[in-house]
Amino acid sequence: MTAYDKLAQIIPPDQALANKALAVSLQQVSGIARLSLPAFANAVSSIQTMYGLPLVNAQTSPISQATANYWLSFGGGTGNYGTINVSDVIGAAAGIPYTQNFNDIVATMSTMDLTYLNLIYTTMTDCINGVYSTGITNEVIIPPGLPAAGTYVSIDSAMYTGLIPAANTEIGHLTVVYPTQTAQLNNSWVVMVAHLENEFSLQADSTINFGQYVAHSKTAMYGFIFGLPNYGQDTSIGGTAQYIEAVADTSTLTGQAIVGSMRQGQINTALTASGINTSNNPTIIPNPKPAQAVLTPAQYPYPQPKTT
Amino acid sequence: MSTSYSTLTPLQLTAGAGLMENEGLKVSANLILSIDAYDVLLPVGNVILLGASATGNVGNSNVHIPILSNVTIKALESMGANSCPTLGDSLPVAYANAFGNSNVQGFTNFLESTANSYLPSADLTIFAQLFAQAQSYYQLTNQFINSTVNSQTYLANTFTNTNNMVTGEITSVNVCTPEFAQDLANLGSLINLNNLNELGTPSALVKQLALLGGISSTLAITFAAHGVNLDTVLALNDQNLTVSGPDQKAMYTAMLNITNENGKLAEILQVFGIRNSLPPSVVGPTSAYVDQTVTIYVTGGIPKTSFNWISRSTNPAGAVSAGYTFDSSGSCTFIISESIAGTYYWDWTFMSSGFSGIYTVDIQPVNSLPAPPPPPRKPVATAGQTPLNINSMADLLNPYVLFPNSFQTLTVTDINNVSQSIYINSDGTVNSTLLRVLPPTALRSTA
Repeated sequence: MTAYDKLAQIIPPDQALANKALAVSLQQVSGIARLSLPAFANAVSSIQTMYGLPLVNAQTSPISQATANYWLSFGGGTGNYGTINVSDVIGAAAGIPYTQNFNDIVATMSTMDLTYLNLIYTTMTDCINGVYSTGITNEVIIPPGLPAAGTYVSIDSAMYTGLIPAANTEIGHLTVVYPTQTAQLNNSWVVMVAHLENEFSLQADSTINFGQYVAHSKTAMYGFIFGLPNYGQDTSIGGTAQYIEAVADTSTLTGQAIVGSMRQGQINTALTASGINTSNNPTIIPNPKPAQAVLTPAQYPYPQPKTT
Repeated sequence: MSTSYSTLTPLQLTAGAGLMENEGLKVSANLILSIDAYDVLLPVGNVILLGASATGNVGNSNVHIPILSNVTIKALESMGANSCPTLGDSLPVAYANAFGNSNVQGFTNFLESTANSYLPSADLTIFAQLFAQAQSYYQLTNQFINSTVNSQTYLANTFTNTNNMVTGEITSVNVCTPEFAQDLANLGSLINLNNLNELGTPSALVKQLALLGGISSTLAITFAAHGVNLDTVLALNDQNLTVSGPDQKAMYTAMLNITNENGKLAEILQVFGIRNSLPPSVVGPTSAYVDQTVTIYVTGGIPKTSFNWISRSTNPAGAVSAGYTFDSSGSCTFIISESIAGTYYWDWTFMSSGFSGIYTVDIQPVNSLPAPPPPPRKPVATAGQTPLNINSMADLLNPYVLFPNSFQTLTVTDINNVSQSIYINSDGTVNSTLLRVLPPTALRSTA
């Protein structure tokens, strides 16, 4: 590059400065080095500007923070910046993230003595099933030695005034005895409840209405089948590949073919990138060719020789 | 006939055959297993379901009523809600109304029934519709979010204003795009945009001329006569030629002396394709009297270049050919006066650009009727369009001369991301602030 200090020794300094400024400015135009001057002139003559739109042109960043905040509030998913994936909207069927949380909960509960709480729940079951009903009107007697033992005027009374308070008391007792474990249980539980609540919220945003779905819609299933290879390419956490794998019944050929179709999508991408052809796709040309109908003549007839 | 391939593969066809018959998809088996494991440890969900559904007879009748009141069922569903809802299979207090009017009946039961509603085993097409709608929504939403996030970062700190952003930074060079475009168009192929680092140097100008095949012996001789090193002169057509500072200075001096007066400039302007901002045209009266002065204006030529003018008349028949030269603005005005009545045709051709046409005028006897209409006025450039005024080859290195219509709005974004005018007034005074705010590499060779 010939900088200003050198150029100013060759041509008049003011012209040198103007030339350097013009060069710096032109070099900011993306891709200008690939253009001829006439092509650039043509491009310049074709563009429009933000003239007369002072509020637009007064922006100090591509979008204002207020605009950014507005759109970011549309998220609500578990991805970066609140981006949404399929599991955020309908994760329950795939157990995302519920299965993991339940596994954690079961593991934690296994370290706790839940014998008495279990006894309360078993007693509740027996109570509702009439095991403690005396047959005298609706009277219920829970035998001594069992939780909330005593005589009640009805099953409802035994539950409401005896067993349910006993369960609440025992749960409270367990939170005192096992503060760490119950805190972990609460964390995992809240994650699941909050996620399911968010699913419902996102479904409302998506205007999902189960009542409007068409029963036995073949075209809907066609679309799903066509999309399988593409679903396989979204391998993000909670994305379509993980989701479909979770709901695919791989004990059947169909379920395995679903997973295989998704893998095929990834395979095709890799092979296409390397230029290798696959024999995945059959032709859609009918074989044999359908019999052709006789249609009206579409060519001008050549004059027939005159017969005498 | 080309072969058309299906987008469906054998694997998809296999999967599809089962899916159409409601096979192949079901609520996650792992989810069911994990819920079952929870229920084994704590069968509270079963209690809640049982309590909510259990009924008993009214007296000896067959009328069934719920065994538990709504109040009791509610209490059953909220066991441990304010301490450890996991142990009561209940909704935490903070989420008591999270599911509106839904009949929760224990969170595990609710979750499982929700999962089954997404994937009804009797009709998987419901799931297909649900999946498609969910996917459509989140894909669109994510486009907005990702675009928003990227909009805040993709230009880093180079954003100046919306104009520059939407025009690919063209308006950062000149906001008055019509005038700028006109000037650029008039310059033909003068500037090599792939060699902007050398813009303004005589060697860059010569290399561009060489690229267009325009290095003439006249130019070489002129350079040599003004002290350009002979090795340099002999290598003017070499695109890799490196020209020393003194040689470039000598080139510039030579360029100052390449003018139309000595006939050398016109050829160079022609090679570059430099043209006037007025369209090529010949304007004059359609009729005139014998011996009347007729003024004809020729515009749109390349400054300092010549054109042919062949005059043919029908009465008397004859033809005269002459050559004329455009002035520095690419125009030419001349006056004729014919002494013989008749129709005169002038075939004109701009040698430089190839534009051609015919100008016709009827010369009528004096005082004949109808009288000739008033002659047209001299064409003028559209407001804001100033013709080029190039007087020497050195002018081709002067942006003030090259951009007569747009130099006042030429700008550059400086190192502080501030737009600076290159010229500060209509006289073409260069903004000296640029000496402090242009990138150091543009200002100093040692930067």
